[in-house]
Amino acid sequence: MNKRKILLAEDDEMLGSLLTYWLEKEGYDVALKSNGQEVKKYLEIEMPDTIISDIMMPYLSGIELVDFVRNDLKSNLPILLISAASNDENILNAFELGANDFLSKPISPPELLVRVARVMNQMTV
Amino acid sequence: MDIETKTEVVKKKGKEFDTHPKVNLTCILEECMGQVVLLEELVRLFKQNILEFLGNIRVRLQAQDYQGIAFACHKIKSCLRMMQIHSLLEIAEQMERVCKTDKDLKHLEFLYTQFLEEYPGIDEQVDSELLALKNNQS
Repeated sequence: MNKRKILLAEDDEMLGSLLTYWLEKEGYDVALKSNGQEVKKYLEIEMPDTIISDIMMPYLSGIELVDFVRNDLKSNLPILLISAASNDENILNAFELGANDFLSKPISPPELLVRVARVMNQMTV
Repeated sequence: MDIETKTEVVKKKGKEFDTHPKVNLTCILEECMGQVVLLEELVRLFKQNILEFLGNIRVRLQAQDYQGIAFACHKIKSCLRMMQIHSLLEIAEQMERVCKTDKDLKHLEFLYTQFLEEYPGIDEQVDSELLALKNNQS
């Protein structure tokens, strides 16, 4: 059976490494990208099953990424945003643009796994 | 209480504060599912991030780039929170706040110096804590 692919867009290498470890341990195939340019390049050639993205990212914010996926790529793949800044306006904006879920930092890896499974299941139901 | 006694009390408290451990890697080791190899990798990234942060802030202070400093502080907070290094986290939070409010360069330079002075001790504690955890596992 093919592993489900997750695109993890996180410029904090420590958090990126830790989350990659947990997600891979759970059986996902993870592509870790540390900035918006890498993310766009990846999406030109691959379509993951889910995207997990930090909101504050260099070159392309998580919110711009949601806009890019929904409006440019015309894709409804699940997008889960993470951020340390609990700016309500940002979060509302992200949901309005079509983000599926939001998690604030510090991230609890077990909680992230539950949320990822949930957004993926919502898409397959 | 006379002034000499007060000074002694302050000195004693300062000493207690200085000797109080500022690093505890147990929680992050749990998040690493007990994998010391992963913890070692995170510690390596942590040290690298701090060095990049310090260089980045120095350049941006010279350029008075408050937005850049605020962004760098925001990013390093996540790493400090993960390592539970509250003393440095507090400094980074203050620096970010100053950049977003009164943009006081002198205050920022002072906080940056505080960070620079605090870090070597933290670095040593991280190394000894990591060594202790490795020894415990072997």
